[in-house]
Amino acid sequence: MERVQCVNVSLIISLSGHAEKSIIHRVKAEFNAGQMSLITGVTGAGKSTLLHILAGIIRPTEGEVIVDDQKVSRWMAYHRDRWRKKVGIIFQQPHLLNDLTVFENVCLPLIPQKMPMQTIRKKAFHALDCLGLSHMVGERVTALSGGERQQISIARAIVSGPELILADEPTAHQDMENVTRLMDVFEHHKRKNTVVIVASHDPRIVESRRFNACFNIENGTLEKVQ
Amino acid sequence: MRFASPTWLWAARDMLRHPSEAILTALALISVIVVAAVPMLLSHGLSNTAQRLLDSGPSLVVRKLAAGHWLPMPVEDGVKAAESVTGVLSAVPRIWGVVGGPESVTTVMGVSESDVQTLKRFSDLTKSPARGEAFIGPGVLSASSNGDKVEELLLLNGQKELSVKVGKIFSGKNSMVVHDIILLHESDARKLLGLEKGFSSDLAIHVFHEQEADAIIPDLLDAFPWPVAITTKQDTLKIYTASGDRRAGLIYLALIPSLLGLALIVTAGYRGTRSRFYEAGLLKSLGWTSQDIVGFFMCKAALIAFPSVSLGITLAYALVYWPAVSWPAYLFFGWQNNPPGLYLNSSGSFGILIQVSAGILVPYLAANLWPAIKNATADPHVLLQAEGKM
Repeated sequence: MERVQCVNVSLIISLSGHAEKSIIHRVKAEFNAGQMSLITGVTGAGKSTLLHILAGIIRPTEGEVIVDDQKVSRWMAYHRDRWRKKVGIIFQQPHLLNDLTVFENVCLPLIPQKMPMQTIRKKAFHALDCLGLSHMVGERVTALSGGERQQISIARAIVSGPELILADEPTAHQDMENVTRLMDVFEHHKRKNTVVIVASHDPRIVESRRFNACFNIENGTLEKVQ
Repeated sequence: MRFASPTWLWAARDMLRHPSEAILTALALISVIVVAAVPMLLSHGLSNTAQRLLDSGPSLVVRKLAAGHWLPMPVEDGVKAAESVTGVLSAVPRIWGVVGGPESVTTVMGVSESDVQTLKRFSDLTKSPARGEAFIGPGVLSASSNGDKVEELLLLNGQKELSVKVGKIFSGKNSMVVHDIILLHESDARKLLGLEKGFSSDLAIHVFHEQEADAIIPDLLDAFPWPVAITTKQDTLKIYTASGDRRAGLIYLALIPSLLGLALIVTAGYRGTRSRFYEAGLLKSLGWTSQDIVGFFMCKAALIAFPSVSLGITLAYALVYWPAVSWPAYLFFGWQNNPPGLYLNSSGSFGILIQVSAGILVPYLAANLWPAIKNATADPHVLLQAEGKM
C-alpha cells in the first residue's frame, strides 16, 4: 500500500423527521506509507467517525477513500471485507470478548486467515510480547484494568501485520511508560512501510513530535496543521 | 475446509463459551431424533418381522371343519386331495396344538426325523426329540423363574396330561419361529393333543407360484370331500399387522411432541445466532469476511448437530433392534417371556434413519444459516452500535 487518500469525504446522517446532520464535511487528506499521522480534535469533532470510514466500517455519503488509486469506499460489501483484512483498528472502547482469554482475543483477526494454529499462536505471542503483555496470556479480560484492556486491543490490531493501522485514543488510561512503548510499536510498523493514523487529544502524544503529519478536525472539517 | 482448520477449532472453542447452551441443544436434538425415529423404525421392523415369519411358513394352511370347530385331518385323503390340485407343490401334515404349559398356554408341535431338515432353517436343531423329551423355545419359560435353572420336567395339559423332560432350550439366536414353542416326539404330541395315527392338525400346502396361492383356493375347496377352512399368508399377515398398526398409530402420536421440540430447537437456534450481531460486527471490523462469519456459525452448528444426530439415530436403532432389547416384541406381539428382538432390514432402516436425520438437520442448520447470513451481510458499524454489547 502506497497511500490512503480522502477526497471530499462527507458523512451526513439522518435524524428524526427530515433533519440531517453533517458529521464529516468534505475531508481532503493524504496518508502515506511509512508515515505516522496524527488527527487531533475535541471530543465529538469526528475523529472516530473518520477512522471508521477509513477502516471500511462506515461508508461515506459523499466523496471517496482512495487506496493506491482504487476507490475502496465504493467497493461492494464483499470487496470491502477484503479491504478490512488489511486494516488493524484500535477502537476507542477496547471491544474485547469478555469470556475469552487475552490470548484468544488477540488471535481473533488471524482465525480466518487460513494459517496453521501454530503460526497463529506464534504471531499472537509476538504481538503481546511487543507490548510487554506476555505475562497476561491466559488471563480473562474481565480481570483486567481499562488500560490493560486497551493494550490488548492494540495487540489485536497489530497481530496480523496490517498495512494500515488506525488507532483511536490508544493511550487512554495508559501511563507514560506504556505510551512510550506504544509509540515505539507504531514507529516499528511505520518503518515497515505501514500507514499509521492515530486519533488522539492526549497531550503526551500530541507533544511527542513523532508524527510526520498532524491534522486537526473541528466540526467534521479536517485541516492539516503540520 | 479442513476439519482441523482454525475456524473449526474456534467453533469448538466457541461452544465452550456457552457450554450449557450447547449441551441443551445437543440433548434436545438427540431426544427429538429418538422420539421421531423409534416409531418409524418400529413400524418398519414390525412389518418386516411379520413378513419374515410368514415367509418361513407355508403358502396355505388347510384345516378340516365341522360345525363351528375344527376336526383332525385324515392325512392320506387330505394329502391326496390337495396334491390333486394343479399348482400344489406339496402338502405336509402338521401335528400341533395349544395346550396348558408350565406357565401359560403354549404351542406344542410333534416332530419326526423328516421334519428336522425343515426346522434346521430356523434353529440349531440337529435331531428330533426322543419319546418323553421336549425341546423348548426361550420364550416358554420366564427368565425369572427358570432362565438359569431349567426345570427338568414339564407338565403339559392337553387332551391328556403329559410329563416330559426338557432336552434342549433353543438360544435367543434362533428364529422367532421356535421362540415360544415346545417340540415333542410325534407320538407324545399325538397323545397330548388327542390325535389318532393317520390324522394331523392341518395340512401345510406349498404352491409352485406364491402369487397363485389365492387363485387355487376354489380348486382346493372343491378337491376336499369335506368342508375345510383355508388360510393364506396374507390373511395371517393382516392378523399380525392389524394389532401392530393400532399400537404403531398411537406411537406415531409421539411425532407431535418431536415436531414441537424441533420447532423450539429451530427457534432457539435462530435467536441464538441472531443475538450475536455485536460479535459479528466486531469480527467484521477485525477483518473477517461475510463468508468467514457464516462459515464460523455453520461450523459451530455442525459441531453440535452432527454428533447429536449420529448419537440420536444410534440410540433409536439400538432401542428397536439391539439384540438384548426386546420391548417391541413384548409390546406388539405380546411375548412376555424373554421376547426376541425384531428382524433387521438394514437397507430399509438406513433409509428411515437418513430421512429422520435430514428432517432434523436441515431445519436446524437452516435456522442457524439464515441469521448468520443476516449478521454477516449487515454493516459492521450498525452491528457494533446495536444493543447487547458485551
